[in-house]
Amino acid sequence: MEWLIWLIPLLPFIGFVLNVFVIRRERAAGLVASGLVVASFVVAVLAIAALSGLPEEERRIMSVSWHWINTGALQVPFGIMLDPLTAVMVLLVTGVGALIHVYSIGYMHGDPRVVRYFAYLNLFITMMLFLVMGNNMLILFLGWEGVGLCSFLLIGFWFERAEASDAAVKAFVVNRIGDAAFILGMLAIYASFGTLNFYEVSVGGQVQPGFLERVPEIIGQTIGPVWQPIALTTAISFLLLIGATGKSAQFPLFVWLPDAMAGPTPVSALIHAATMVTGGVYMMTRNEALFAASPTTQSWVLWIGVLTAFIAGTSAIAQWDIKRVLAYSTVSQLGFMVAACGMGAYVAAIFHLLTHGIFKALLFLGAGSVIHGTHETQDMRKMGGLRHAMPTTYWTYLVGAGALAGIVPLAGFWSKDEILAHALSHDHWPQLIILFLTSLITAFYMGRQVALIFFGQQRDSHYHAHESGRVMTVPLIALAIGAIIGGAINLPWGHWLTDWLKPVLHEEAGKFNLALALIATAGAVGASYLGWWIYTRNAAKIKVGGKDPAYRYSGDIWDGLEEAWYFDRLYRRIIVRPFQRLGSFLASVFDPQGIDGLVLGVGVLFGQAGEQVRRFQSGYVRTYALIFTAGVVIVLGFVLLFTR
Amino acid sequence: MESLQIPPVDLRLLTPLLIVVGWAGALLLIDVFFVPDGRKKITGYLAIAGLAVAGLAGIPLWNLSGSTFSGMLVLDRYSLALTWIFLIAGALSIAVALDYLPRHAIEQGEYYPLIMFAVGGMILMAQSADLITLFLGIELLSITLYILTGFAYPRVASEEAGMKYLVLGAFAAGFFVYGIALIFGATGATSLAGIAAYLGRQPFAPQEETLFLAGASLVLIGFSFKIALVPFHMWTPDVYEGSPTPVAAFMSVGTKGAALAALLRVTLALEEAQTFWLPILAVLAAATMILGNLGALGQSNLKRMLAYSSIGHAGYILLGIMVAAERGAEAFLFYILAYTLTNLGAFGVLIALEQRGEAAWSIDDFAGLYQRRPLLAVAMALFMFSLAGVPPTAGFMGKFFIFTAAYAGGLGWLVLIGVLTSAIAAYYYLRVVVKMFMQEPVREVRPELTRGLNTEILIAGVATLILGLLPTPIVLLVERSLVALGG
Repeated sequence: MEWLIWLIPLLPFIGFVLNVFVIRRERAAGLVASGLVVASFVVAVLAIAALSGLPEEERRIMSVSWHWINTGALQVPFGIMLDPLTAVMVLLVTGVGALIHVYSIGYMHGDPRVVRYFAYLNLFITMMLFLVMGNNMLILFLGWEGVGLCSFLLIGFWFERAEASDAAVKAFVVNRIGDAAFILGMLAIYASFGTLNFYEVSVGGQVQPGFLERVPEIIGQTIGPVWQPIALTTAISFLLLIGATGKSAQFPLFVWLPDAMAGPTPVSALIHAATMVTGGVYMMTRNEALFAASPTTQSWVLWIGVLTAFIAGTSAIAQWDIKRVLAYSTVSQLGFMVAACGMGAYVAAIFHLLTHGIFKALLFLGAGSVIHGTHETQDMRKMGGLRHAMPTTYWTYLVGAGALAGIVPLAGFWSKDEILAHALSHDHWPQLIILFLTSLITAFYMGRQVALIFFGQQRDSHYHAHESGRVMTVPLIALAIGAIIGGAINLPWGHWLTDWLKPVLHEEAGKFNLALALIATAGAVGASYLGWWIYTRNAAKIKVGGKDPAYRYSGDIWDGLEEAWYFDRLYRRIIVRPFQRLGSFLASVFDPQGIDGLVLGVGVLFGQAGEQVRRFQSGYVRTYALIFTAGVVIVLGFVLLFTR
Repeated sequence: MESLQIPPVDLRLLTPLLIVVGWAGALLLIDVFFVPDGRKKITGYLAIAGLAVAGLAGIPLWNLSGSTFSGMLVLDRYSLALTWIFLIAGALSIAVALDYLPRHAIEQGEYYPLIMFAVGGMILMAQSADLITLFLGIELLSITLYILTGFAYPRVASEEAGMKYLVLGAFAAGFFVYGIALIFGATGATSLAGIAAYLGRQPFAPQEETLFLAGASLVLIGFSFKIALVPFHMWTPDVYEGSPTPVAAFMSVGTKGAALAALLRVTLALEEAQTFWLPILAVLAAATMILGNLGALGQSNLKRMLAYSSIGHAGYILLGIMVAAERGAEAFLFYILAYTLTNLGAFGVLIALEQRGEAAWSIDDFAGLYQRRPLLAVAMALFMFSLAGVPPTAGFMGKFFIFTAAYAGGLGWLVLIGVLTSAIAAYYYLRVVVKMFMQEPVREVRPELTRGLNTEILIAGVATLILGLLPTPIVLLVERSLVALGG
């Protein structure tokens, strides 16, 4: 039974190996890759069915394959586990992943490197599964870095385009900042607890402890200088938080995600919306015991989430690129999840993670369908009126937009409401107000986007728009159904998800606040109508190079929003440029004159010494015998004169 | 008058040695009378078989230990482990020669029995517990090598090398014997146990001490010549370059290994004399590491480069001997094994590139080898990395063990020199890799890979990797083999 869960990550891995070494044809690659992810999904469903059959407190299947690292003090088993929290993540990864694989068959059709594409995609699924299934921090980190690698490879998939390879490098470098902190956090955990296992695990008859069960031991301990001691729990959790801000694209490290849209659109849907970027949220939820032990870190988590939600939400308003709107929106929604973690509402965070995973994947795939049907057009100013040409895409996109805006009874409404209700019931007033404003803004920009793409008249007539094929629309419909009914998993009356996660998170169901729900719904409907109304009325005036219709209400602030509050420019000025200058100084002055001078000088020195050695090598036996004799005299003289 | 006491002789303890020497003698006759000209390979295969039989015969001796011939010869796990290493070296050297000899028109059946005699001499050295038998072993080895060095008879370089080696070898042997005589004069014994017993009876008379010190120094000089320690190394590059390449390969690992092994046994047995061995050995090791590697630096002839490199490696191995009482002996054995396999592999590649009438030893002949023979280039790169001490190869583990042991034994400054000279060495080893992988071929050199050569390179390559990746089983074996030595 235990071995069954190994199949979940191994099946996509087999797909990766086949695609790398065996498969050469596009059709086979797509079928094998998709089929194995579907198989992995089926196995996951079976395993979770078995899991739910266990009594509540025993719902954790662990399987350890071998001692991964076994060096005296540090012992890391290569083990994976399946518990309720992992289960929902696995379902999301394999379920949405399978749909996106199928969709990719249509979307990537005709690309010259499509086999490689599917290999990367399968590797990504494998790594993401290790991230959520690892039973210790190091396996989680293996997956964490693995998905980072796949993200890098897939963002830069069309590496001939300069912006794609630049974006890939940017994503990788920005993530490294978070990863460095994550490694430090991991080392701190090891130093404090002597283990990296989350929970107690028995390997070969010997029981290794888990650190999450031993958090109370270190409460009260401090590190740091005497004049400024820091609680150990704060230090560890704060380092992990920095790691999460990198992977989950939070303030101040969110700048890589919008650029990551240079990758193929299904990749944006899978990696940069539904799964990988939620890795930080998952990691914080898994280490909930550590975070809960540090109120200081928790308030940082909360404020980072709230600020990110607001900054990214406002930036999404002013974008023209269909995918950049969604990218900023993703950052903003991730902010909601992180804020929920900061409030201690982990169930709400996971709930929003799941629903967002579905409807954001839907929106991205819909955007991909639009891009595909308009012959690689991404600028919304060149679109308009597409609802006639692509009806399926239009209707499914409408569902996704409604879910994101928070329209009753779509999935996004329920999960967002749970976060807001938690903020209200725990008196986080300032945060509640900002998050509520952000949700209005969200509704507004989705109304704007739907109007720009699907309403009015087609503004650019250079292309003939057409609906995408079945292989792409079927996943859209499946995801749309999910976006409609997905909220049912944690309705205020049933709260099934809360109960399911209780063995891991021990959380009570949040209270439903009818007044808040009504206000939020009214706000969402109003704001999205406003957005739709402004951009439908002015549809004809919008053109490339022209001002946005909202410009006359907002003034120059609009420019700032379009540039995402100038964060990129700020980083370029205070970090990238000085760094480049230092780099060019090192490369053009210090290295050739300092290092090379030293190295070459040493080389010349030894080279000449070598020449001297060779000069004695005359080839004459008499010389050799002479030197031999000299050696004898020296040795004998030394011994007889000095040794006695 | 009492009848002459004949000490009990236990020939069982000498099984591998007797098999090797006996087989070699028989093979000489078989070769003359039964093996037709042009099919001398048969002799080679028979020689390999003999070495294999000797190796197998050694297995039951693993749990046996003892001495015979009045304590002149001993058998312990240390000597047995060395015996196996020497047998492997011999077999691999024969394997590379199988096609080398006919290709260079110097195929004569004596080659194979001669190698076997040399191996016998090496085994004798490893088993000796008496300076007389030790000398016997050295001479058995040396005399066969004098012949083998000049084996490429019509070629002048080979003859010259044989002559040089003979003259200088005789010179060194004189010092060695004189040293033994002086020691005998001082202590009245030639057996290691007898000398050690004398040293235990301090204080000794001043004249005796002078005699002993002078004798011990001369013996040490004799060893230094065989091991090619600076400044007694001058013969090495010339002899290696002139002799047939399989012989050079055999000498680079065999003579050196056997002499080092005997030196280790002598220094361990005469622990009382440590205070006077150590400073000399330290200076010799330092000079050897520095000059050996500096000499290799300027070589564009790969065969000479490997000769100098073998000098440098002897310096590293000497560190292990100096701290043998601590964990040095284990490091020493591991290093010998790693170096033997790696160096034989490197020479194997060299042989593959060597054509009749012209020697492709110039480093330029390696340019672009990767494009023509990728696998061969990868194997050569592996050997170069191992010689340079880059993980995950055998050479790295060997250096690691030697340096750790030496550092723990208080030889910090020698370790420093060792590490620095390794850095120098990396330059000339990696230059070969750069040539092979990153440069275009200068001229067409067609490597000739035959079955024997392929097998040898494959074995050496796989062993080099395995020793680097999974050293633990070998280390355990090495540790067990030293139990009896009391090291």
